Amino acid sequence: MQVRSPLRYWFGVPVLVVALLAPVSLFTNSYNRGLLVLIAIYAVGGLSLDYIMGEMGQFSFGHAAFWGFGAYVSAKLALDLGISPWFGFVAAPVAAGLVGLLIGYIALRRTRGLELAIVTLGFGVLAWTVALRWRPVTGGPSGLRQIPPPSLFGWEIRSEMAYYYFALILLLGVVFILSRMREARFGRAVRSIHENEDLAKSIGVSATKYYVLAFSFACAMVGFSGALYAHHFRFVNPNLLGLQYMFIFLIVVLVGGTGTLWGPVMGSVIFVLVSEWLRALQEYRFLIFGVVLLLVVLFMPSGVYPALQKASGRLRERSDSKGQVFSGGQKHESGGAKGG
Amino acid sequence: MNWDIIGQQLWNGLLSGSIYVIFAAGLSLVFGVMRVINMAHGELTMLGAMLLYTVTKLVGLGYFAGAALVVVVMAMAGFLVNRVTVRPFLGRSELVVILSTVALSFMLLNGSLVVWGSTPKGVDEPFNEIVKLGGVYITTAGLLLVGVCFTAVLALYLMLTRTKLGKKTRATGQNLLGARLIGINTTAVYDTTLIMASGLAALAGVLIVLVSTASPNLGQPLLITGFAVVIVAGMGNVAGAVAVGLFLGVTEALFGQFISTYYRQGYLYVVMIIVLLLRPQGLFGRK
Repeated sequence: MQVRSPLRYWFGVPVLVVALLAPVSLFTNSYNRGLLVLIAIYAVGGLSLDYIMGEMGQFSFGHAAFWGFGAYVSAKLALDLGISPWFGFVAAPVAAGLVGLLIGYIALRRTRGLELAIVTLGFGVLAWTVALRWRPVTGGPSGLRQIPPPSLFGWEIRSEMAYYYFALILLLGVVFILSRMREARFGRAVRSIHENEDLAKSIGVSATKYYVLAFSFACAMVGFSGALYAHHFRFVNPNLLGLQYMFIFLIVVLVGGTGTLWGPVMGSVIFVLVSEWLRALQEYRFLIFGVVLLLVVLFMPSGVYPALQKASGRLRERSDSKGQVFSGGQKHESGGAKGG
Repeated sequence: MNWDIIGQQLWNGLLSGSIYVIFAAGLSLVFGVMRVINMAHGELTMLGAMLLYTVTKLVGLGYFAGAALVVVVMAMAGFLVNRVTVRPFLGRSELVVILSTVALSFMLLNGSLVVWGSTPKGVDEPFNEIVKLGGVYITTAGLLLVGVCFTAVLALYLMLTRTKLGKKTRATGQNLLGARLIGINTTAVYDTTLIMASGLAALAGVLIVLVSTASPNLGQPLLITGFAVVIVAGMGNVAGAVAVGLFLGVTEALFGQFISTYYRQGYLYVVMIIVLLLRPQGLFGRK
């Protein structure tokens, strides 16, 4: 069972102070502040993917497609209909959530695990193809440009610093909602399915219903992150729906640690800063990230955050299964199958 | 309706369908035996094509010698793929293996982009005459491709059904624990399965350059097409993958000709999604 760890609170204070002071102390020029914005955006995206991986114990290869979809929806509304980005921040998650509901309904009724991963991969690539080809609506390969930034009482949130604080508030909001949801009936139902689907069903938890809703919720969250991206960088293109961003979210989640609330946030910080640090290496970067991902999966399966938690000794041991990547996956026939 | 155009598209569809067949056969084999989805399968094909380019253009080997060398080397690399990205994770969840092979795929893709750059490279075919059959233009290199594909898949089929190794392989796929209990060395079976699969993947790579160019970016679209074939056929069903690969190759070409070139690839995913809705276990899969 999930024990609310004291670390979450004691850790939180200095981290929050650092987060608040970062743009005025360490990250002083606008380029570096842009990195902070990116951290917040990837963190929301990572948290949403972790909802599928950590809470549901499933995997979606189409997650970046929902990210890009949210970005396009918000961008399109602002550009074509002149609707305020604020509305876009609501419309993007709603739209992504609805599409997630539909696709989740199609996919989760029948498939779990590996099959689900491949099905969502198919949907994701289909979405990417449409974004690339449907030129009149999506702008084709070059995408959409000059997306307006949001404005508050007539003041445009255009500077990196303002946008960072704006994104930080939203990120904290997302973390807060997620932590509430874990303890709520809904979150417990989802976890019970993750732990043992047949058992959950037998006590009257409708597995498909909860999984479809949870999937849709994660899609809405990543759609929201996409809208944040669109109005900050002010352009969108089909790559946002592609496997490269999928890979980035995957690194954010796995490096940080699945099934932990702060893991993906930490993963996002690590990813953005390391990738910035390696910027001079250009095309070698993704090669290195591939190696890093493999090493993390090999040697630190539960990620950096749980490793830190363990190191900080004051904590009671969390239940063993919780921090493991896909701990629900003992469904391998012939009992765990250590062979090969 | 112009029959020549239809005939030409049937031929083109046969070419791409043959590639799908040999590609999906390897993917399906690994899934069927090991219940592992090898996300790096597309990059193994890509490496086959790029290495062939290197040994023919830069080292100066002929096409056939180069192709044989590349396939053998890549097959041996399959052993490493198993030992580095699959075997360490087998005790853990199935999904972890997806992640490790995704990591491998990213390493291979980005490594290849560094080594070869993203511009497509041409490889000289051993022969390339154009034969006009009715109104349809057929290349001899294309005939070679189709012939080799079907020989390879037939050989795989015979190996699985007629040899002792094939029986061991199928037994391992059906019941790992049972196979071990009766004394089958499942570790060796897993090794040979990935060796065969990478060999097939590389063979697809060296055949692709007969009708197209080699580029580091050819792996990912092929992987996704391969999944469409494997899912429509039913996961792990090698024989089904052959029929579906051919069918999808041909209908995709016709779709591209008569309906929309733009959404040609989208066609495959739509077929995949429809099949999943109506028959989630695939056309030839058992429930």
